[in-house]
Amino acid sequence: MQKFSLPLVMDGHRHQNERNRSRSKVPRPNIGIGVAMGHHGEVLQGGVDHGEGVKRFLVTLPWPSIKSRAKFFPLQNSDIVTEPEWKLKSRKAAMLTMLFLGIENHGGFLEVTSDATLELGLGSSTSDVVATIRAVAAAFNEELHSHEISEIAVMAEFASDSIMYEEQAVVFCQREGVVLEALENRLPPAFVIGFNTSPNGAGISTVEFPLPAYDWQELGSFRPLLGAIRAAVRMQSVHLLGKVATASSKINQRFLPKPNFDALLDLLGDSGACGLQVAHSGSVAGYMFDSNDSDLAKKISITKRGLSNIGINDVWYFNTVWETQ
Amino acid sequence: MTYHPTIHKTYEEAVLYPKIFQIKENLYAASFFLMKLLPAKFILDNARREGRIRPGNTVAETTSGTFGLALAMLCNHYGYKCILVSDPVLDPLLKNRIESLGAVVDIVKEPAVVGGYQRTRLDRLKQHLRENRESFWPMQYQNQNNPSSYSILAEYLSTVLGRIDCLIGTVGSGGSMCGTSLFLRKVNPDMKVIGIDTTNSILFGQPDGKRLVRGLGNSIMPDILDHTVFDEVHWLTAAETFAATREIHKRHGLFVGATSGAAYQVAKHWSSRHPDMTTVFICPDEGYRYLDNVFHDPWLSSMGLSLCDLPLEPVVATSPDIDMKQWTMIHWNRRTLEQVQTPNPIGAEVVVA
Repeated sequence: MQKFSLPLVMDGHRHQNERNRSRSKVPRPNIGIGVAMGHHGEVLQGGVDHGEGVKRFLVTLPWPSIKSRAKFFPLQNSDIVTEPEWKLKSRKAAMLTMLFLGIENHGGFLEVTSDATLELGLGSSTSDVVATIRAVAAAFNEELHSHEISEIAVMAEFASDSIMYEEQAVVFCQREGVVLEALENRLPPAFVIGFNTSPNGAGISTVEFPLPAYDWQELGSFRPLLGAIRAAVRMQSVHLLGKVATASSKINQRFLPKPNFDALLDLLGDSGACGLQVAHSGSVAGYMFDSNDSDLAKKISITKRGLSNIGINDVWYFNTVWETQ
Repeated sequence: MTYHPTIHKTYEEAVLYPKIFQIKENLYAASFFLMKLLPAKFILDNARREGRIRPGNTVAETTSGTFGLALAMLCNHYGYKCILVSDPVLDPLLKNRIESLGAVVDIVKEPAVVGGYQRTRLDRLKQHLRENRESFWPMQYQNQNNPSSYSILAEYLSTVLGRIDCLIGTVGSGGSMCGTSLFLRKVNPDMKVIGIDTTNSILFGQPDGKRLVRGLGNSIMPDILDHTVFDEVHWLTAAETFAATREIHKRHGLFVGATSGAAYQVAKHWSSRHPDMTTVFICPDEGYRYLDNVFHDPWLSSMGLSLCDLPLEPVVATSPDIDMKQWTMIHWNRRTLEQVQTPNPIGAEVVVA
């Protein structure tokens, strides 16, 4: 098995783990199962400078009906064999999880399936990675905290989103895998019409995408947007959340432009949606609606027709509400 | 009631954010202890981070107002020398306070033939900057970090109130109103912005003249004032401003300065005509500096002012270059000063909000 040295940031947790978790426990060959929900890009992504340089953050829009599922069958003195073979981040996540748990001389068989298809222009890697981490932990009868999962996830894939936090929305530093700020609640429930802004776009890898160089106006703008998302979560206002998402989409246009963006903004006005959100390092976007809106059916129809007019015919629908597992 | 026990490490951090008072259903006052701490701290913090200033260096600025007090407080804490150039109108109580913080107040005695006191003050400031090798000039009227600092206020207001539909406040340098609205409009691009000036101030096209109200208006045009953020501009007379300052104290218990009174007067009117819009007005300082003038009837009489009943409505004007005898407003409609001063007679758009 490949040797990993744990980065310094994890030391605190490792010591804690050594205290709290019995390392002498011989794991029974137990199939571990892990599930993680998907996401549909972000409602906010940006940076904030509190005097120690720019901290990058994002707030993920969950897509609860899309899931990744992982099964892990641990085997002593074995390599990790992954199905499908190309899910290398999941493989790395499995190794890191065992290292984190202090499990030695183990590999096993890892199977990962995901509802998210690459055609959506939406990577499922974080969902796959989180499902894997949960599956590996379960195989050794362990349960990891969300912050532990996020640290492992970031080591497995350099940058990740925050779908491991299911109880409440978080402002998440995607590069460090740490929570900048936990919000008071989940995001307010939204009905989303999703689509791919570039029909052939396969999505952009979060790793390859260079860090945006925000100017002073953009950096200043992220402050009230953070303020507004706190208020939107506290008041459970999807209308205010939509305004934040639209503003973040507009700022991101300078860094990863979405085709037909002006037409998409026009349609936002015409459709009566609360906001337009985008994947800041991908190609999907979505119109967010208040699911209690009595005119919702009419608005969906207008939106679908408007998208069709700019050549976007494949759309999907989902609610951002989910039950805790 | 929620209770947030907080122990502040420094005084300026304790008072950096405003207190938010709900005046009525849709109207909130954002009341500062000393608003100018926000740009002063932001400007000095950035200068320190960029290595342009370090302890022992000198900060020099020309000011006759609260920006000087804010600089004096921060320089005292950070270990900078502070030189403030002012003219004889500097409030003697404010001068005492600034000097007690260790700052040097240099009062120029004579106005220049061309450019008045502003010119003499600027010349004297440049002299100080030459004499003190390692010195830093915050340049509050030109420094982009002045409006930029108000992203901090925009974050605070958004956190507390969520969506804001209308922002109202007075204009002196333009930093607070232009900065706060620039950033708040990222959340709500339709937010209305109403600026308040005082008569005889050149900021929005009134002819220059003697002004009794301190803390707003100007005789020189600050570079950072962006006229195109404003949907409406209002001018209040001194008597109206002082009457409103007394009224907000008496009716709501808010003991605030004259600029806050002016903002209150316009905000009251706007919010009652737009009951569905969340409206915030900015109160930049407290009332203590005004105890022996605005709050002192004999002083008001000595100035020939009486606290008459406030007009219920402003006079609606189309040009700022008129003699304003009472509260007056222009539907500015986010135009430049030039566009307002020379309206296109054919395409003149009159949009009534």
